[in-house]
Amino acid sequence: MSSDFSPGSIQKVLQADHLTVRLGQHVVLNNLNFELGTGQIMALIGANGSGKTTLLRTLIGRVGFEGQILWMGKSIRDWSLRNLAKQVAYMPQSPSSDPGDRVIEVLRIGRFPHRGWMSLDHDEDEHLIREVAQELGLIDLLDRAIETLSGGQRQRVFLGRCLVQSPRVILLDEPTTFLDLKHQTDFYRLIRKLAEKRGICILMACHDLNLATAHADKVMVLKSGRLLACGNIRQVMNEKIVSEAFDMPMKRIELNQSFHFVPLE
Amino acid sequence: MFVLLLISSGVWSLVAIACLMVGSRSVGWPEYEILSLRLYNHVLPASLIGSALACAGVTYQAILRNPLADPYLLGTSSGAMLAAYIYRLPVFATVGWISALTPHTFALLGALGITTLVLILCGSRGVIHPVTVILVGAIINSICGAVFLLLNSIFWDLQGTGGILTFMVGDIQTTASWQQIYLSALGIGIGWVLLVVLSPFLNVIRLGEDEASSLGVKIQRIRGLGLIIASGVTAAAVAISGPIGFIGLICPHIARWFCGNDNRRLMIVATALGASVLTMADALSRYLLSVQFIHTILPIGVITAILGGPFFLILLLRHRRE
Repeated sequence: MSSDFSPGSIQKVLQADHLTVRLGQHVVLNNLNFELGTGQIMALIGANGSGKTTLLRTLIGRVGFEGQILWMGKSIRDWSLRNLAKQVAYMPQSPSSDPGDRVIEVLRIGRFPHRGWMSLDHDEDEHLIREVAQELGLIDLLDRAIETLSGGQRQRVFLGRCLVQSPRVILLDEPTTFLDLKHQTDFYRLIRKLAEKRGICILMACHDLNLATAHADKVMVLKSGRLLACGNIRQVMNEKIVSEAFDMPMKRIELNQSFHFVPLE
Repeated sequence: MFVLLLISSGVWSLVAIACLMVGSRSVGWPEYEILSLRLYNHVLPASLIGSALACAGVTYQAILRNPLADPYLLGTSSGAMLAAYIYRLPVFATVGWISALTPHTFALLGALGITTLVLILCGSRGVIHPVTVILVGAIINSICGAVFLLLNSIFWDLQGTGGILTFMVGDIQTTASWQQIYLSALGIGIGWVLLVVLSPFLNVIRLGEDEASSLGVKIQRIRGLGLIIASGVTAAAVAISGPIGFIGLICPHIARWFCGNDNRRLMIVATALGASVLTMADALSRYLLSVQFIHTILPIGVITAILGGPFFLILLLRHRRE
């Protein structure tokens, strides 16, 4: 069954209306309203426990919710899991792999939603995998076991698996958690490049305010499951909102047409 | 993939032909009657059982995300063992429908019954978690083993074929009827085809729930299906062999060294490897009879455990060093 989404015809890739998630009596996400347009990068910011991961898992259909989630204008409840996987890729905070998994095997798994029932390898799939590997600088690592790679290389492999899925949207859950500052910067630059080149929409949960906001178009700030602010980075990221989000006074410092936040305590 | 299937079948065929030449008194191409006897009583059943255990092992290890998972984890072997023993109890010998069955069919029912019980207990909330499966399987295995020993202490002098060790160690049951072997072969054949179809999904579900779901796989459905099919295949094998150890555990691991972690390839290579290894173990048990100090043919389960364990250990340590 093919997807009925035709690229270019819809501006809003994602729309959430009155999105609420309850786990037992506890309200984890409370009445969220936001949208994401074609080719945008949105940073999802908030303290630990603010609901970032739950939101991403809800958007791929892993968590029950009240309200409405529309992917490409169609309710998530009307998408088959497989067709949604052709449009939306997800990279968790700690992607899974088994010892001995080679890079090429990890990348091949990304083609799964596009394959037939016997899931045979086709030339066009292999061509796409090599193209993505080339783009991410993984072409010489294809036969390496995943556990022999550095943290930065590994994250690129898992990003590659998402790209091989040929999605319209990629959801990233704190993708730079285990990376040093240089690799974090490299990763966000790569994300920006891919979004511009391939027109992919990206929603990424981040801890590092400064790096995330430096590479995103829009930002969504969560606090205890509530949407504190959502919109253009320059408008939203002010001292009041960021201080409230992290429950600590923050100072915004302008620097070479960009800005940074530093804690005052 | 088809090339891999051809190569794997070719390797198994060569092993099977070589093993046909091994006898308890001589090594060489035998006369037709002996050839036929070795083929139908040893090489084909051993290949059938070995392939069943290996492909079930691949499935269990992927679904339970545990490299130590083996086909007997869900109580299949202990269910068969208990049922085979219960079949011989005097109290059941008088029950018409039970005495109408062969002991192997009764063992098959026992294996399926216990496995079904484990699966029902694991999936009672509609969600199958690997850790729950492993724990429930271990508990049910222990209970079955305890009941078996309890019955054995009460009815210690049971009459019947095969002896108490038959269903504890595992061997090719030469007393199994042809109908029983055909039934098992049919079950294993259908199960294997289904597992090959399921194998691409196994690549995805070993990633974890969120990632599998984001790749379009309904993980609970695949876990349930995979466990049911693999358990059915194991039950069909155990009914004619008892619990032959190590094949379901080591063959998937050895196959991984040849073809990597891709379950599509692994399912084919491990199946051929399981069939070949058990056929070789069976040939060795025949050959050992010619050794002076061995007075009776060794059950295959003893050979796979004695040789399989250290062999796997050596390969594992060498592989880790590399």
